[in-house]
Amino acid sequence: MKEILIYERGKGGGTLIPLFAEKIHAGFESPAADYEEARIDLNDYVTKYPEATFFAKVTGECMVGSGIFPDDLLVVDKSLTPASGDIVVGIIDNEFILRSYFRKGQQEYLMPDNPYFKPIERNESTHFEIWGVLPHSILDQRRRNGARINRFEQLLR
Amino acid sequence: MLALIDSNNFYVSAERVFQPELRGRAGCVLSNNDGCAISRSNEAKEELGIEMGTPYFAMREQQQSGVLWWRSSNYTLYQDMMRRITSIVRKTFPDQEIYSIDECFCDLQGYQYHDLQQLALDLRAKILQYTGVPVCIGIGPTKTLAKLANKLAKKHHKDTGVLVLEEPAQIQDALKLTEIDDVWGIGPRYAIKLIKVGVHNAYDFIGLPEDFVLKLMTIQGRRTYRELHGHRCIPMEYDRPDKEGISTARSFGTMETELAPMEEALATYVANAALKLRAQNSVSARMFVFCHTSRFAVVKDLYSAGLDVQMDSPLLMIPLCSSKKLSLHFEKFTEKVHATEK
Repeated sequence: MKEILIYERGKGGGTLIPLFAEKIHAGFESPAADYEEARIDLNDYVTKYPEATFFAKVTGECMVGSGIFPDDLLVVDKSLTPASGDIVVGIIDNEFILRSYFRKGQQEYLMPDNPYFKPIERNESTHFEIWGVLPHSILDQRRRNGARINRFEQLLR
Repeated sequence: MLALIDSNNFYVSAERVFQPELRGRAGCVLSNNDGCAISRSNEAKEELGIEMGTPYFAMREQQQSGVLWWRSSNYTLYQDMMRRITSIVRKTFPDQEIYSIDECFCDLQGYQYHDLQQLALDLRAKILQYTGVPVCIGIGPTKTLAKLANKLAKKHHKDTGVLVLEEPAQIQDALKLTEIDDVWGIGPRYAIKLIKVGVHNAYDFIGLPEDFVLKLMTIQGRRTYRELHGHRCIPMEYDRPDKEGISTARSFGTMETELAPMEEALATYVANAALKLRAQNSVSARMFVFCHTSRFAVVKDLYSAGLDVQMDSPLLMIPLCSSKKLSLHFEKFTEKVHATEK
């Protein structure tokens, strides 16, 4: 099974969604009076360079430590140069994979953010290339309700 | 100066962006209904000798044995990749004419103090990184010379993918390297005529007297001649002029011998053409419908038919396709096909 499926980005000029003028804190805060001026287009918010932006979905669990769960929507930007610590879409053995790019001295790695997966080290026998960098991912919070409830139950025990 | 930016094996390259396993292997993209090859990888051209238009059945063995991959055409994807590429180009060279799905011309007026070679190299690298599609860039004083530079860049400058023709000596060398039938605007028939009078490359061609070219090849040939001499005769077209003819033609995926599916296809294609017609706010006074047997059928079974439909007054092409006249015509066609089967 493929680890990642890549989609095209939709056309610009999408729906504008009202933005809360103040950041939402964990507690309650009175929202600012005038919403009309501050609107946000999610496409614009996640896209720096639309020509180089692609959407993808991940099927594996190798990046759960970074809050990326199976079926989450990923924004992939091919215009960015990967910095150490970035989450990237890489190609290894002609397959797309999702890992974090990590540089330590002269060594380069594609690191999973999940202890059940093995790091990939770039060396003579292992070649990987980087297809694009992941500036954002969209987490479906309601799909995580079950996991949250489990944690809460542990806490209250 | 003008630039021509042209994607290399565009459909194949676009498929490879999302399917890395296709890279480095011979492959092609097939036409509608998977009829024949319309885009080929370099490996398919060079190692397997697959030509533009090679029918799928002639490649089936290679595909089954695994030396060749093929994909059905995915125009939604190609259109999206084209939009990305042209948009990146516009950020470097804003005066742009989109010439086809994989080519655009740019007017570089105002760039005379720039290093065009470097600009083109940077643009090419940017398109490759941002979209994954390799392009070649040819730059010259006219459209015909930009096109010629592009072809040479593809052939002789594979490492950089860029060729700028600015100095007279550079242009002369490039003309000598270009076979006459590789010149934009010179079709195969004129190429044969020219070879007969001893013109083998573009440099021989520009050495002919202008009157002779005009007489041999009419005004079109003279335009190409002057363009090769560095005089701009073909202007930039920023807005595409409306089409004067609209054609919708497809080959069937499987052999058709019955009338009903033919009529159905005809109705769909006329509706498609009518959609394009209305999109440019035009009307039509004439419609030509044609059909023919597969080009690869045995010679004695070849058959083709066409019907010219004149409309009394220009129309927006309301369903004419169900008219009796057409049905009768196609009935004749299917009778003929049945007859040849027996």
